[in-house]
Order: sequence, then structure tokens, then C-alpha cells
Amino acid sequence: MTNLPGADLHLPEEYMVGIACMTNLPEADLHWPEEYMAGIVCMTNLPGVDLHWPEEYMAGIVCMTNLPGADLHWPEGCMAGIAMHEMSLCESILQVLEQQAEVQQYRKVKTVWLEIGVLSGVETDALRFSFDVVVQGSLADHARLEIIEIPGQAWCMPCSRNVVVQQLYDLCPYCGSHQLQVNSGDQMRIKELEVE
Amino acid sequence: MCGVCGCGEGHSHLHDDDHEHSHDHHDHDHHDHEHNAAHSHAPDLSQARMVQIEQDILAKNNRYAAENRRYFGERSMLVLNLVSSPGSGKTTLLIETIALLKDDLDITVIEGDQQTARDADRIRATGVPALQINTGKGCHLDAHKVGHALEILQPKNHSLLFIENVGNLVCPSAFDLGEAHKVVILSVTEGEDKPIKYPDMFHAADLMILNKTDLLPHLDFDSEQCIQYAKQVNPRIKILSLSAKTGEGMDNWLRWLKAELELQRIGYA
Repeated sequence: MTNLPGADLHLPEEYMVGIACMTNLPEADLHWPEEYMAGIVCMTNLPGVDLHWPEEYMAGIVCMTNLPGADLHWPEGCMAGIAMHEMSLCESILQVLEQQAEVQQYRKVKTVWLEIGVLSGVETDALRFSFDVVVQGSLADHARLEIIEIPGQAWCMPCSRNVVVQQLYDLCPYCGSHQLQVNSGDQMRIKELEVE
Repeated sequence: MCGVCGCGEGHSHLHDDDHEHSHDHHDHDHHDHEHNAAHSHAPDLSQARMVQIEQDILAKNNRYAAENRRYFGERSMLVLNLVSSPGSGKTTLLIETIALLKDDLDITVIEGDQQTARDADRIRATGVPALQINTGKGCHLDAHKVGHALEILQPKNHSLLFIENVGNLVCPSAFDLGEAHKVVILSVTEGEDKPIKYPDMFHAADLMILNKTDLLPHLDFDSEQCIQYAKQVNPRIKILSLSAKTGEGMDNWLRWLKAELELQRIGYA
């Protein structure tokens, strides 16, 4: 999202968007300030890398590519093992844009409007970062990404009414029940495009 | 299987026995012809305009998943998508399950890992067909890769297919493979708060297996709290506790499998 002043890790300006960490990593060599804690995630340990963290943090991280100019490097072979959920979503988005270009007769995508539910599990900062990386050199190069956030809503069985939820583990704000059926806010949709 | 296939993505590899099949196909994608009448032809390319898409980002995966589900339905197969964090004991659970069931049932396995064919090798050592999909940089299996694995594996009617997904509690939750159920495996060596830390996966799963229960006496793991968290995220989730290592609780898991397989045989959906 931005540079990480006070952190041991520094990356070049162009990589600053989208990297972050869910939580501090005690015992890891890598630390950054609390305010940067919302957003990245690592899948597995990185053999041959200087950066290690304890097993319980293994579910979730991610980096897209080597980071030239960054202090943090890992061997080329590890690159295949580092991935990102939002990255694959962006690849799916690009496929739709390319497919629709034939159908709807456009050559360039200038803006993409997405509807992303707050319960969809999508980290929007990571999505923006991945989008910029994925669309490079495509018909959507430099396209603007507009994200319309859709609030979470669930049907409360005991109350027989819709209630607003922020998280999948939220309880009904009225009766405290967890008998909730999510009926909105888990969507990930491409709504419309500005094209030429 | 390729009715909706548009494979141009040659980045994953399937390992059948010791052979590696390259995965480049001709492209024969079928487009959704959602013509927008006002904009469908002779556009002025110099002028910006709006086009409505209204399409799920994962629509393509969902089409492949629907195709897989139809394939499974025609063959009355029970297909389970096994998901967990790395190290939960998924592969060991599978091996023990196969050992107990393979004389009674036809079983096949699709193994998803980012790299290596080690897990498929372990499964094949039990005597059942297994196919490894290396996802490379991908963090999950998708329905398209599974569809191609089926072409190679050719599972039998009324058989049981286990799809062991990449060890990752985040990404596989969004990708439908056409399975009957996602089964999430959580070992008691992990925190009891995993269901609320990774709610998407526990929300998407129909069954949670609490594994490695033989270790409970040595741990502070609060099983009741864990189950409560899982139910909080997903009131419909069912829970089985077992130890694949000692065999404790395995009988209930086998009975669940046989009951679900029976439901597929009567065409129950």
C-alpha cells in the first residue's frame, strides 16, 4: 500500500501497493509496523530464502514475482510456489475482458467496475495490486479499477428477517443466534466496463 | 469434457504414474453471446462507451464445475474436495481410508500440490489410481484442471473420487470443482480458532474432520470451542473427530462415506 517506514523490509515504489501482512510475525525476521498489518499472506515456507516464519503463519502469504531493487530476494525456483488468490481472480477478470472484447467489439478497456461483497474473502488492496500486474501489456493496460463494495446480509432463522453482517462468523445483532444464512455480500462480479 | 474448454493456459502439469503430460491444447472456447444491442456492431473506436457485463468473476470456473458435476452425476460417483492448511494430515487420512475401503469400492484420487508428485506417489503405493496436478504458481485447483484429470483417470461408475486440494485454507474455498462436498480437515495441533480465522473455507465446507485426536492429551486444544466456532461460521457444518494414525473414529468417517455414496447411487442431489 505504501512504503513501510520503520520496517526492516523495503521495496521499490512500484511494489508498494498491495503488500502487507495479516498480523505481526513474532519470531520472524520480518517485522513491520502495526498499521501495515492488513492484507498479505503466505502459502508456504520459502526454502533458500532468508525470510522464515513459524508454521502457524504459513497459511496465506504471497508475493507475485521477484522484487528487483528490494532487500528481499528468493531463488527463481521459489517463484512458482508463491501465489495469490487475488492474482488468480484477476486472471479470470482479464479472461472475461478479452472474451467480451470480441463479443462487444472494443479494443481497449479504460475502467472496470467490480462488485465485491464484504464476505467474498477478497482483499481489495491486493486485488488492485494484482490487477495492475495482470493487465500489463493487455487490452486493459492502465485501466482504472472501481470497486463497489456490497455489504454482507444474512437471513436470521430465529428472527425471520435479514440482518447486516460484516463477517461470516458474526452473530445476529438482534438475537445473538448464529443460525444465519448469508444471502448477499459474497459475490464477486464484473458489473460494467468503460471501453473504446 | 471439453465442451466449454478454452485451454490456452499451459502452466499446470499432470503427472500420471511417472509420465508428465504437457498441457497445451488448441483453443476452442465457447463464448457467451451476451450482445448488447446498442453496442454490438460498428462501434466508433475513438469514443469511450459503457458496456454491461454483469458476470461472475469465476463464471468460467463455474461452467467447468457444472460440467464436472454433470459427469459425476451420470456415473453416480461420490466426489469429495478435501481442503486444509498444510500439515493437517490430509494425505495420511486418505491413505488410511483407502486401505480400509479399497477392497469394497473403486477409488481414484486427484492430488493437487504446487510442486512435486510425492503425494500421488504415496497414494499409488496403496494400489489405487492417482493423478498429480501441479498448480505451479496457482494456489488452488480449478474445475478446468480437474476436468482434464478425469479424461486421464477415467473413473468408474459408482466410484469414490477424492480430490486433495492444495494445502491452503484461503483460495480453494472460492473454486467449485464440481464436488458433492468440500471436506475441511483441521488437526488439533492447529489453533481452535482456525474456523473464525479462515471463515470462508469453513463456510464453504459441509463436513469438518478434526484430525490427530490422539494428540489431544498433550495439547491445550479446546475441541468444544473449535466446534462452536465452526458452527458459528457455518450452522450447517457437520463434524467428525478422528485420528487417522490410531484409527480412533475412522469407523464413523467410513460410515459417512458409504452413506454419501449410497445417496449418489439413488440419484439424490
